Amino acid sequence: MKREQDITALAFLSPNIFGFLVFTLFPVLAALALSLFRWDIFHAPKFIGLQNYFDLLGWVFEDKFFQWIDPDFWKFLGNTVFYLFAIPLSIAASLFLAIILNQKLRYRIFFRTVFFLPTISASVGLLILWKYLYNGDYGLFNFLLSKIGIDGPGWLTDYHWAKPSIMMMMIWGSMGGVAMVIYLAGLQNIPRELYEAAELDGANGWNQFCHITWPMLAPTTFFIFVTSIIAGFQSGFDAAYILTQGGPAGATTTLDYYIYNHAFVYFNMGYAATIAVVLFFIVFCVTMINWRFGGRKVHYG
Amino acid sequence: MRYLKTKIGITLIPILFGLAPLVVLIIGWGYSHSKRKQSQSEDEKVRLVLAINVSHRDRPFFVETVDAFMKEHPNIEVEIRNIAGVRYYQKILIMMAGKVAPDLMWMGQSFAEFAYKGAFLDITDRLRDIPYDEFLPQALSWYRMNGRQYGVPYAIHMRIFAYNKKLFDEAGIPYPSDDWDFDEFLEITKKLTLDKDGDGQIDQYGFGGGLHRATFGAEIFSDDGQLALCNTPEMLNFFKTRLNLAFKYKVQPTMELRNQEGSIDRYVPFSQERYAIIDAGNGDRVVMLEKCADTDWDYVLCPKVKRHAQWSSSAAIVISADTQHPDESWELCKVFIGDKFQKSMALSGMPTNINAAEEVIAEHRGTPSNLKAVLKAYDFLYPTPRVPNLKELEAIYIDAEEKIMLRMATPKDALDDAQRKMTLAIKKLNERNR
Repeated sequence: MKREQDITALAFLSPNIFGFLVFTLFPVLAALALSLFRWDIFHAPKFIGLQNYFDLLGWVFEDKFFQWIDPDFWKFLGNTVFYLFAIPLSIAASLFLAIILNQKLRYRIFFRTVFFLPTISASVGLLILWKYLYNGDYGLFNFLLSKIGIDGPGWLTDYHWAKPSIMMMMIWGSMGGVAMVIYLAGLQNIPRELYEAAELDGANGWNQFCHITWPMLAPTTFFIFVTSIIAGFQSGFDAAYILTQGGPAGATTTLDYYIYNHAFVYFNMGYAATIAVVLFFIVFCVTMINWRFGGRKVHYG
Repeated sequence: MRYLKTKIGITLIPILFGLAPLVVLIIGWGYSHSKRKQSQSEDEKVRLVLAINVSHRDRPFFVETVDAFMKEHPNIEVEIRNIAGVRYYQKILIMMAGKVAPDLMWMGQSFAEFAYKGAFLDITDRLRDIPYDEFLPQALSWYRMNGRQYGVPYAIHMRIFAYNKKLFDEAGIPYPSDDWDFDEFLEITKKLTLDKDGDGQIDQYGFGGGLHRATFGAEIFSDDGQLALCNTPEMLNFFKTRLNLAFKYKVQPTMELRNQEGSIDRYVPFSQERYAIIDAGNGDRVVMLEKCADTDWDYVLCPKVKRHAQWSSSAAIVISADTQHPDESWELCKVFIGDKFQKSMALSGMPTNINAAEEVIAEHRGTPSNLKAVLKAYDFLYPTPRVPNLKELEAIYIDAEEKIMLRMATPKDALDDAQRKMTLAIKKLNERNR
């Protein structure tokens, strides 16, 4: 009987397992293997051991200084990490929106739909829209700034403004998305009695948020934070590809875009796979740290 | 029956459901595979795939040419795939990797990157079929590697300058001649840079285009790609001059301003009289005629610093090394090399057949009146260097260029850094390509 149940369970799971094996596990293992090869697509891959890793992470002693062999990798890792600072802001904005939309407002369903729209809209279209908004000459932002006498910057063309501009766009894109929906679900699971008891004790809205809502949402926040960090390390490709081509002077190139360039512009498949593997380990380590230290502080009701 | 429902049914149905995607995949693959073979044998027609990267304006010329070819060769069927856009080469690469490379494909400045990898059919022995001597030797050499020819370009694209005649007239400046030099150019651009409404902002820039390092005799690396030349005195001079134009004389918008206008191309500000002179590709002549229809403009050769050189490129149809039909592919290729096709494409690139180019110039009427400047520029062609990893090396140069022009680094520091990076990159690439 148990064997039959196992087979049944396995059978139900098989579509997913099949998809996972073919479309996830196999490519991951292939990338891992490929990182040990030099391959330009045209010729047979050549085994080079860990050379790609040395080229990516190694350094040379030159002009009395240690210099990275691939300084771009570190620069673009820095860009990627910079974008991660959008995550707390994005989470805060999602929570704020979720709290607003959890109130008994008129047209609540309409607003929920509107705020979720960026998530289900084609990202390319949205990015092109942002490109026009950010345009230094005829963009809406600089037009509005000019009305109050401010000469707006070149949002996407100024080295110092390009990254924050893309971060703002990322926050806009993610604040009303999946995180907001998960927060809404989390808010609806908080027992009303807790708020009623707090009201009886004279707690104001802020106190209720600090002592009921926020702690009760801790598992939700932790989940959103961990998944956002994972996604954050893999972000920035769309914006770099469509808005800036990674510029100005590499200011908006993320590791994702760097992988793409090595794979499909420079034809260095092995090196691109190496960057992907290193990125995977970075994400893995950060996630483990999150679980190890963040997980402890989460209160599971 | 009950047994079926409770035991076999519950167990088998999910298993079948689980295996369904696998079965569908296998059947789908088998079906498409057999269908292809079947259709091939049914009508005995040779099927060629031609990949092109051309604008909607040029596509009809290809369609007409291919249609005429198919009428003449009823045993050959040609499918045109227009993969227009900046990612053309990546798409071709993916097709090659997937072993579905087109039989013939459009090729431009990335020729060498593919040719070094053995992607193209050697056509050296087939060149006796065409009037080889009539072609511009420099253009032919772009598609030659290790003494073997892999393509014959049908068009040359080069940048020369275009100027707004009305703005010259208003400023009382005589039109520039093809033998002008940089000092003359600078004086003219100063006179043409104006703050028309007196608000302290420049409304009209004398120059809204780009100078090319080749004009200054500078190169990124040696012809064989083995020696980095990023921080030569010529390169330093080139960047200092560019900085001076943008920041000292203010006759040219800064790179930041130009980047902001990137999404609308420089022909729009040119037609709006915000730029008096721009660099213009002869391959964009049709675009310019359209966008600057109300502007009285003309071509002039780039001003000479060390030479009148400007960026140039070309377009060719090459044959895949993996094609199953080399003879039929060459038959089609010859049509694109022919005079008729080259002349029909003249608005998007000058013919590489010199006779055809001269005919185009002789028959030309209207704007630009100095079309012969394009022919003169044949003597100063600066082709894209033919090195196997051009884009990877160019990225280092572009990074330095942006740092300089955005004033994040001095020309010397940025170029020294680029030189060091490129030397290391060349060393690494040599190891990789060995």
